[in-house]
Amino acid sequence: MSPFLRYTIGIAVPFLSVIPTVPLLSHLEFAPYGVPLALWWLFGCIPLASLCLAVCWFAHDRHQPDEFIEADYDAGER
Amino acid sequence: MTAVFLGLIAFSLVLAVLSKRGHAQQKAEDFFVASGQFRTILFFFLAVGETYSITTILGYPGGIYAKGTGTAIWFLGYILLAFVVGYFLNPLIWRAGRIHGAVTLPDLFRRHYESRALELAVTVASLIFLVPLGTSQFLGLETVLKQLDWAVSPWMLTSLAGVLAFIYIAISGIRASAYVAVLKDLLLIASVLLAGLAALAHWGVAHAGAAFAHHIATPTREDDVFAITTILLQSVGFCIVPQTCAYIFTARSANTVRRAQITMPLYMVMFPFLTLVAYFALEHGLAVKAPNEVFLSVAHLLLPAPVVGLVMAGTVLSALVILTGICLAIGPLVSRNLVPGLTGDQQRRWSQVVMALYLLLSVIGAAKSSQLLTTINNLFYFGIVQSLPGVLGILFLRRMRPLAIIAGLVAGDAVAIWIFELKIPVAGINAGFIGLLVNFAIVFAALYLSPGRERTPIIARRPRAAPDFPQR
Repeated sequence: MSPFLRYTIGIAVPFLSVIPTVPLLSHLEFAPYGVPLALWWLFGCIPLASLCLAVCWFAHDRHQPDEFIEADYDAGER
Repeated sequence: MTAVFLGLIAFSLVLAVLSKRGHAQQKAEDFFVASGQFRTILFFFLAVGETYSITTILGYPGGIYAKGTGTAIWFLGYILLAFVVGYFLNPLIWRAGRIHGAVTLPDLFRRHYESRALELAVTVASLIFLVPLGTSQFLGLETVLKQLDWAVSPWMLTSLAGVLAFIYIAISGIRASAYVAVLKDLLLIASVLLAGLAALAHWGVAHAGAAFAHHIATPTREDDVFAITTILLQSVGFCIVPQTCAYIFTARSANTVRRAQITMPLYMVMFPFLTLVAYFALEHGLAVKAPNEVFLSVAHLLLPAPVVGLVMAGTVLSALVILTGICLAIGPLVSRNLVPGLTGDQQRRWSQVVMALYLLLSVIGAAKSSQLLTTINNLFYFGIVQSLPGVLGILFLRRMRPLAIIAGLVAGDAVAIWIFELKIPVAGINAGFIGLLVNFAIVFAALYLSPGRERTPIIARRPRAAPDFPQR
């Protein structure tokens, strides 16, 4: 997966699904089962966000070497 | 109800004691950030535990009850996108923490920019804006604990809760917080699902639909602008609040952080049920003294007493876990960043004194205040997010000046507070967002006009893995 695709799926898609989509949808009077469409949409964005991050992980990040770094906390003491 | 409630609180203490096994002699870094040893599952529970506070379970339905759907939109929007931003930003913050041996966010600023003044500025700003957050947790605790109908003053009950939070911390610092967070997360999701399902069962889907339709209010343009700017501000700001940094630094590796971030949005499944609870209260004309009592009133009305005990335990623990997180962020801010030169043991001891004082002040603050919980949540982000340009400088940029970051931080905070306190009309734009724009303008003007000396950003520092750790 290219970095462009990674950021598109991981950041652009979840952000565009919420902003400006949700405020725009909240102006519609359409309310399935009485629930505003904007809220339905927002609830749908929850699994969508996880799915987008999972795609980034399985298609790209898990194939990169993990980082393990020993920290020197004592260097902070003066 | 009381027996279940007390039993679960007692069990949380047992968990806190168990967390100390194998870590009897804790160094300061183990007390504050578990020496960066948490693996994905414990990290996930700690992160979720530090995300959903009593503000969520009481303030979210209370906000909908008092102000309508607009609250739901920005509240859900920012939490959801915070996980998305965190997937990309938090591993870098983790890397910065490891490279600089940081326990707090100001540690990063001091080490990266080599500026004591900047460290102090970030520390003081963090401390100022963390104070109301503790107050908001005790306001929520007061709402819950008075429902026990014990013949004890609310002040005494919240004080007892403060003592309990301190005991967790004193046992084993963030390790106790993480173990208690596991119980809290499970109880919280069970509580919300049970209350939401009970509301649906007693109501009927057809009725539920009619109720929602009654309470739809078309948002104004100002409402939209507030929702968008608040979501943008708080989704990014969430990643740099002091207690978020504290738990990020507990992770064992960068991929530990990423794996946990993927599943974090799924915990938000509780929000549809919380929404249902709020609308149930509205439709049935439930009489509540304050909007923040909506969730518990519905639980009392619809659930059997032992289950209400479970709900109350989950709610109380959600405040206590957050309080331990805030305390574990504030303690080192004072003993490590505000007061220099203390040894690790001294840092730990003085932190505990600071935490006790903070809890006491927050209890007193709660006794004097009655602000809506979601308003306190907004106020917190106004100030905390002003560290963002400096953090982005650490992670991505090369020539930021510490002085410019201080100037931006002070100006951003001043503008946000000025707009908020004087209620200056800004077309619905979140005051913190305007402060952040001013902040960025100052920092980037300085970067362009008078760049500082070159420092290698974290993104360009390829860490060398320790030889005894496995490579994938």
